[in-house]
Amino acid sequence: MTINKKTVEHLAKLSRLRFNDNELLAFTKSLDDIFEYAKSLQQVNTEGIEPSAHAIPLQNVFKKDEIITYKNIDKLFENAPDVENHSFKVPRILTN
Amino acid sequence: MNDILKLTAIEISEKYKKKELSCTEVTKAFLARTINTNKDLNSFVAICEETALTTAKTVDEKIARSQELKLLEGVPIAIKDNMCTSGVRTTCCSKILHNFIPSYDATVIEKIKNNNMPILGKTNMDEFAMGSSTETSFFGSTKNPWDTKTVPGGSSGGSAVAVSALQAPLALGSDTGGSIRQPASFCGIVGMKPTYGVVSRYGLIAFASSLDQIGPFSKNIDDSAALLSVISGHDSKDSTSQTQIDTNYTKLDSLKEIKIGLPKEFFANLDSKTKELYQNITNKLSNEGIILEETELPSLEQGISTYYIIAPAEASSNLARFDGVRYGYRNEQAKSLVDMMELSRSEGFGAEVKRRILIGTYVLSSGYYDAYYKKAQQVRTIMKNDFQKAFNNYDVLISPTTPTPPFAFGSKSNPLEMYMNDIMTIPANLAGIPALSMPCGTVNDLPMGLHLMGNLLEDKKLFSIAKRIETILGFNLQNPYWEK
Amino acid sequence: MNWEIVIGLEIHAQMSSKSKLTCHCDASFTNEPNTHICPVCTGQPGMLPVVNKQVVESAMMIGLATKCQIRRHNEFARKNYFYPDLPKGYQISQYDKPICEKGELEVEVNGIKRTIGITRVHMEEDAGKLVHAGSDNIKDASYSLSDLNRSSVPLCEIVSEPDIRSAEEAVAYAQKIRQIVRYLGVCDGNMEEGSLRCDANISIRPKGQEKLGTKTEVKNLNSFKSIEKAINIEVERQIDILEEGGEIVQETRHYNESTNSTKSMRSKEDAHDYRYFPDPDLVPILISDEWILKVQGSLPELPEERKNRYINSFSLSGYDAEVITAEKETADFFETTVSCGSKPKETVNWIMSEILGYLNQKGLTLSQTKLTPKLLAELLLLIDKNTISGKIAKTILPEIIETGEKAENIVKNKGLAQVSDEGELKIIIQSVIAENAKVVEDIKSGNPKAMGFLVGQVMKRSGGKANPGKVNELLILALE
Ligand SMILES: [Mg+2]
Ligand SMILES: [Zn+2]
Repeated sequence: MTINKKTVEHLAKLSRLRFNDNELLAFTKSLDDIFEYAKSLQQVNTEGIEPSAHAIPLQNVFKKDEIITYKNIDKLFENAPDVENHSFKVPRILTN
Repeated sequence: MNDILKLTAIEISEKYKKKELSCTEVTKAFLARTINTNKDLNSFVAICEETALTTAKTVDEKIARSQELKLLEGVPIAIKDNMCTSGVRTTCCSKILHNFIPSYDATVIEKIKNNNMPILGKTNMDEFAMGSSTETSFFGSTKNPWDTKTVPGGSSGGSAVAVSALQAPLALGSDTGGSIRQPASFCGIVGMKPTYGVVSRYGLIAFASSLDQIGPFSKNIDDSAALLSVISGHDSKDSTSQTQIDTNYTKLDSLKEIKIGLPKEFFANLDSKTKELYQNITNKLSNEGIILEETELPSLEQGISTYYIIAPAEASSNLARFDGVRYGYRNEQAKSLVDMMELSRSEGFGAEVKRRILIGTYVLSSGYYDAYYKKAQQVRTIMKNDFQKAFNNYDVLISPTTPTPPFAFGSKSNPLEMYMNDIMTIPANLAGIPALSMPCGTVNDLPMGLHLMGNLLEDKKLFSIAKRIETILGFNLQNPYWEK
Repeated sequence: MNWEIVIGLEIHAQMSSKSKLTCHCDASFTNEPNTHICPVCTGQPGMLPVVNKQVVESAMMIGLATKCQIRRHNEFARKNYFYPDLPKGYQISQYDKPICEKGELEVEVNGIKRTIGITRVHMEEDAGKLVHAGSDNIKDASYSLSDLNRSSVPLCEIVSEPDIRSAEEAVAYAQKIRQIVRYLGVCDGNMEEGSLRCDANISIRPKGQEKLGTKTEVKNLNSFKSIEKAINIEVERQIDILEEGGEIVQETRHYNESTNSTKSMRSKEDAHDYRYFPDPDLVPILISDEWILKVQGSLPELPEERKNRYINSFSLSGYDAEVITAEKETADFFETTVSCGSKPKETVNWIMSEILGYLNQKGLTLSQTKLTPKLLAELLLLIDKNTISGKIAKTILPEIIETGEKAENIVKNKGLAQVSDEGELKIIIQSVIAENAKVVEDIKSGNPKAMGFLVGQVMKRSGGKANPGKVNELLILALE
């Protein structure tokens, strides 16, 4: 058993997800299966092997420091669930 | 059924040049086919009739003025719904983006528009491209035209079906672990994943940034090469975009000697019928003077484990922006910020997406990073090295695209079982190398694909060899659905 | 018990590049919400970052100016957490591969010089700004508004070692950092607009103890004053707790300037685990020797070097050199003035007392006035040549500053030139002597002090224009 219910509850909190008990159970089971399977990785000898963060090595890609004004800001707000004073409105942050 | 639908993209282009067909005719034919068959197949989540016909009109004016047409100009195309189309709803087939209308075009869409290719619509897919069957779509699953009781594969199932059911001559998909090649195989068409960075990811809604790559669906290799020529090229808006690319893949070279490797890891546990099919294929090829050798890439056996750590890790971070604050679905009842974010995400994402977010969060969390994420990245390096060694000896590596023919809906309820489907396609994404699936026969009257992997940035060579194999094998694309 | 204070500072300096770190939006400050935004810095689906090269070079400059080692293989990492001012759900930052490491900075507090270690300097993007409605404090706000103008604005985070031992030293260190980034021209150092922000990691331990005490991180220190007050108040709090046998909780605390107190910011919701990993959308930055040399070559003269040069080549006192180099703008002004022929020492005095005094009360900066080094030099030369007295010079300075008129012309037009002409002065002297017979008696009966009174009278009648030396001379003659 690699993954238990508590772990999944913690992961849910970190990733802003909320589950009922059945979901918790189901995800615990499937994650456990997956990580049991992934154990095979531990057998691979990776001593002194550089990790690859990218498929292909590229480096030093930059943009010029110039201002280009975006013309469709209003369009961005058309997708917003709640807007006030040209800002994105969210419910109260702290509750106590 | 209208014969226009059976034409390849290049045949359509030829007929434009000869003024034997008008773009409006062609576009209308495919739109009609799409509209008539979509209730049945559910391959499109949006159909853009008006804009497609407007584009067609522009092309017809050029034809009338006998103006030179650009490559594939006027050839209609279907777009996977994870590529941003300005003013057209782009949802990743997720509830969390069900109402999202981008104010910008993905770079590939700009290029498609630049060549006046009428966009027929947006195609169905697994939610956020996470799946191998198009069953996780918020808009319902897509049916396989070969047998509507079986899945079309995924995640780009809608695009694959669009081409195989003659709703579109061409389509774009995205491939993170096989999401172009596996559905192409399941639908008996050609699907290609270019070298990482050959096609810009700008405007492609990210699943796993270091693996995602956009590529073409088509009836044959020439069409595939032509479409890649249109959509490829360096893009300064994508830091991971390749700088040195020859974007003309149309003039394929004929190679004198072709040397092909057969990774034995991929032929290990196939059932007898499937084994037999590929045995016949390899025989045919060697009869034509192509050299085939069995070879070993031991790290391939770690493909699934490596992929299902790296891809979810990146996804867990890429999908954090869907928080109900700036766009997409928001739970309106929530009284506090955390409630709003948690409820919006929990109600907006489907189960498979949540599962991958959890996996990714786990492998990145403190205490597990080295054991899982870092380890997987190291194995990824080993896999790249294995491929480099292999390509010192072989022009391409071939295998089946999938271990089995298309499976029935709901038959893979266990996630791990579903993941196993990508065993042959995943390594190409991890190594960034180009790969394609081309139809090569059937098992139980369902299509099977031949999978070719080439060396980094040797996309053109990959096409050239595929073309040669295509002529040797031949394949009748016709599926039962054509007569519907 | 005798406690030792241990402080480390984290300073976020906003880089003064034109555009943001990863998109082309204007990076400058504005109060109009969400006017400097685009799909990239608002985290729209499918958008990708591309790094601003200018920011990388600015970070290198800060590193080189603080004796840091520059890392050759750099990468950006994602710091993952959810907040409505963080559009992508992660901050593009640097984790275990910061661009600069292992630097140091010398600070001086009442005569004692100490070297503060600099752990690291790394690049990152800023988050947006939240406006809390119904209350300026987040706890009572009924809802909040997210403004993303600041989102993805480039920052350099400069992290010090826990080498600082007092609030004064912390302020001195922060001021030094501000001075350096301003000299380098990579940050305007404006604390009101948040271009320079400071967090303090504070702990205490019994004097002589090796082991560090539990620290708290105090945030929202947006002036040098609040850095000093916040540290003192937090240290007091910690001492009270420990001396009552309590324990310090490792936490983030928010400093409130109005109540001069720190408050815990813990909120049960967030379990902290940032899950840093290399950003797959960005590629590594490899820094070559050539590149470092190029940036090294582009470094301007730094405050320390300039101070020493002034001491040596202008023979200024250490103090004068220190104050005149505090701000680059003033130092540049001073140097050009001297190059126009004025005497260094006098020039320093005039700039520091007269000019800055005047500007402070008017709330102006040098560049906002019509005063040029040349105009100042000309004024000082008139004093040298005895054309006007220092007193007169001070009275006409404001006019020069406001109008940019040459001192010479003002003196001419107002007829303020000193009177050294004996004829003119003798007439005044005669009348003063005549009217002050009593005083003259005193002098003759050997009370030289009274002399000063007569000189004063003469000066008064001349409207302050009489040359005091001359007056003295002539008076003595006249009284013999
Ligand atoms: Mg920071
Ligand atoms: Zn922007």
